[in-house]
Amino acid sequence: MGCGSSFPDRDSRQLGRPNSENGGGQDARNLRVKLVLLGDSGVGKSCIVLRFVRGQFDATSKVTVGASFLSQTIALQDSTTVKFEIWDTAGQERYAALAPLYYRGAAVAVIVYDITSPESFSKAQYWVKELQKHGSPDIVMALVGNKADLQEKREVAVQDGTDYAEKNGMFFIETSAKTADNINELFEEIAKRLPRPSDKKTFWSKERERPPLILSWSLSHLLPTNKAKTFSKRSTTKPPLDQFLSLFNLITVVSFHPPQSSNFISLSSNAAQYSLSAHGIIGGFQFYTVILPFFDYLPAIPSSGFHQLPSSS
Amino acid sequence: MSEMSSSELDPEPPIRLHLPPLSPSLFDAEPSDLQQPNGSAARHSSDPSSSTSSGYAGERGSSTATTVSQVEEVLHNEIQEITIHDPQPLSHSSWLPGKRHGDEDDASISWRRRKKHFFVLSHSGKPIYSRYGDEHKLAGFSATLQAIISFVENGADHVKLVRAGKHQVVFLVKGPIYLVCICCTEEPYESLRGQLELIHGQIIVILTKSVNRCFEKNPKFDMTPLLGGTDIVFSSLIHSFSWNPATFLHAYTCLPLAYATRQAAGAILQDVADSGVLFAILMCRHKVISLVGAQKASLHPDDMLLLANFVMSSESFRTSEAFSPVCLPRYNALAFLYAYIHFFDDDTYLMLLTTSSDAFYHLKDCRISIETVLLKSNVLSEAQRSLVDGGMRVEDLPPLPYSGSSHLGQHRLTSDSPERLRESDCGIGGAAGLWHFIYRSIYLDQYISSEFSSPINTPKQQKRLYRAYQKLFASMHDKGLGPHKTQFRRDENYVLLCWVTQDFELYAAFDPLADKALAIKTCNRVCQWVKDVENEIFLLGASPFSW
Repeated sequence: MGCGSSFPDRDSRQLGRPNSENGGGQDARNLRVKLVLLGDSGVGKSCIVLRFVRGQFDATSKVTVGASFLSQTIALQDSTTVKFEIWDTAGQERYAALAPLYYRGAAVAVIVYDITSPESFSKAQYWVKELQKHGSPDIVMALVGNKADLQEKREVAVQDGTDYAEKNGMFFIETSAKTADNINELFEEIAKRLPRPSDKKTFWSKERERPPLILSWSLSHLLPTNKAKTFSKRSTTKPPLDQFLSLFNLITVVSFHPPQSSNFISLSSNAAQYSLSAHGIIGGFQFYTVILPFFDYLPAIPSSGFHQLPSSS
Repeated sequence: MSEMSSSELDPEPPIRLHLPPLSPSLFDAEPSDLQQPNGSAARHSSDPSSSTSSGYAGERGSSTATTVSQVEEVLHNEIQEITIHDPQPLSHSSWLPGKRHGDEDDASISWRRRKKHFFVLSHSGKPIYSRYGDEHKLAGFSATLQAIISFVENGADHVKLVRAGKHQVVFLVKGPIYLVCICCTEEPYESLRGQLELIHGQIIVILTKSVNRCFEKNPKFDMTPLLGGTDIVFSSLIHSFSWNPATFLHAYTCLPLAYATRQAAGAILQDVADSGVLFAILMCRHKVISLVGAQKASLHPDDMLLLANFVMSSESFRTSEAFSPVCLPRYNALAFLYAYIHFFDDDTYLMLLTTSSDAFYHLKDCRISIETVLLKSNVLSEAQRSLVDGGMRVEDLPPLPYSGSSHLGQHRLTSDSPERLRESDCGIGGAAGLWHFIYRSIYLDQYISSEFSSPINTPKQQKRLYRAYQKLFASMHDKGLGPHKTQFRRDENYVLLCWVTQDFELYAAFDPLADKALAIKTCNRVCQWVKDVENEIFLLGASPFSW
């Protein structure tokens, strides 16, 4: 599949945070953030989103399949606008394993439970732990107790929610999608807590806890796609890479034979789809630098670009 | 059995246009009596390919058959004979999706009176799905079904069918998943088995075949949580067994559209497919507007049926664009594909399938460019118009000595045609008492079904006709009796005529009093008509799918 072609510019959106490295029209006044909703099935995630985006409430429950995508822009008092790109995920068990697909790169996670269901509260805690382990390190998390209109059926005390959120550095609010209580407040509060472009860490910044990894690769080993997969699998298990998930990864590709000029062109143009930034000859070595916004995207590279290379000189 | 087959046709040349016309001489042995419509009983036991199934079809004698006869009694007590009304709402509009009668269990009289039950259970006897009633309350019943299956399997044998009075119990074992249908609808075994296969396919669409591994790890694995919220998908599929011919024809149908309109949709889908989308499918309800696959990727009609059912029955897809894992069982039952799904309006929707889990934003961009083109070339409004206007109507069947190009609806307003006048006097159907037809193109994997018109205008009559077609289809494809080429069947409801060639299959229903020679002549006219308008009713040039 060659559908990776438009990833680099997409990623600026997916990164979810103002981010001048990728350009992408982000500026301090108009933020664009990726937000993901997680939580047990039936807690009202879709209802919260539909209330926020369309001002509607539909009591007949429609089970979400996979994830729905909606967006909504809000204006803050300081005249900045925030465009939320919302992933409303399905709460069903079978989608749990697929959740990383949706929360990867999210700047905001809204974890929802139903105040009438203690099970959904424990499920919410599961999601918090999952995101602490695998989410972006500086993700903004909100804990939401929904169905606050059902006071008489309440089984999770406000204090339990507050305590848990506080312990985990989250923002807590109780909402009712039915009555629209606190729905806008939830998103406004999230918008206020977003890191601003001035807060951003640059790629080469000294604030970074670890230096970026530079990986080199023999071109002759690049050809089979499964190589790329092995490579990424092995690397992602190394702990430092988790830290780099939301940062650039640098991959240097070194070929041990001078390629023909036509191959050279084909590689650079194809690789350009993946932000090839530099190439040159060092000694007898052809040298390529491919910059990927996310290390995760590595498996998406192989198909069209590298298959066209000669297997050896 | 008022059925007769003939193989005296000359071997057809491979080119469709040179087929010899269907001639009355092929039917010189028509049975004269108007007979009961259902004569399928004999066929199950005469299936030579499966010695085991014949033992279970009701005869006694062999040792296994004895054990099965006990089973029969158990089931006979379990589900009562039913002569009462079918409680299921029949019309499409009044049909309510989702789980119905969830409060019932196998002790409820209403549950026992249901005409057609479907059960899915695990090999350890745990219920997975039941069409009626609450799965958990049916644990005991599931265990009984499991016991029957494993009892026979312990004898190194397989149970396929048990007959108990009017009821048939059809079993299908798919690894650790058992599927059972219990019904008194007199449908042929092959059809019911095909329906169980589709239900299993729908499970694969949702979970992939790798769900089997859960059972390897833990035989007592409970699959119901994994299928949470999908009742509606299964009930919608089961409902389609009684109205959607794709469920037994293994072909898909297209929305009738002007050739240029379909071409415009196909061109933009092709652009998208070239950018790395595996399948791009534009559909209007269960009908295809256009579809395109990446090179060498082929889409099986059953996969399309299951995918369309999954998408149309899940309400959440209509609220906003969505990105969801789906599995196409015939394409690759072990892996998920990722589907971008977007509804342009209530009926028309786009499905873009890819192998890349990261492709959402790319697919979203694809959809935006597709939508622009569809709006510019009026595809969406044409689709809506086609939904309203409908496709082929038997009343519009042009006379045979016919020249010049034909378009759908061309004859609709010409009420001066003598044929038209005569038929409208009677007020029933088309020429020679033609009520309805289905034409299935074998190379294209597509079928066209005529619009329902008087007198087949109630959902109940339509369902009955589909069941009759289904039976006809099963008998024409019965491996035991060999492939038939023609069949003429008359009963008190219809004259059914079926004609199978290398290129197409034609199923036609006539007035029960229709003249045979005239009916045959009419079938030739239908085939000619279909050929004349084929670029409006079929998706042409999509054939790389089929091989």
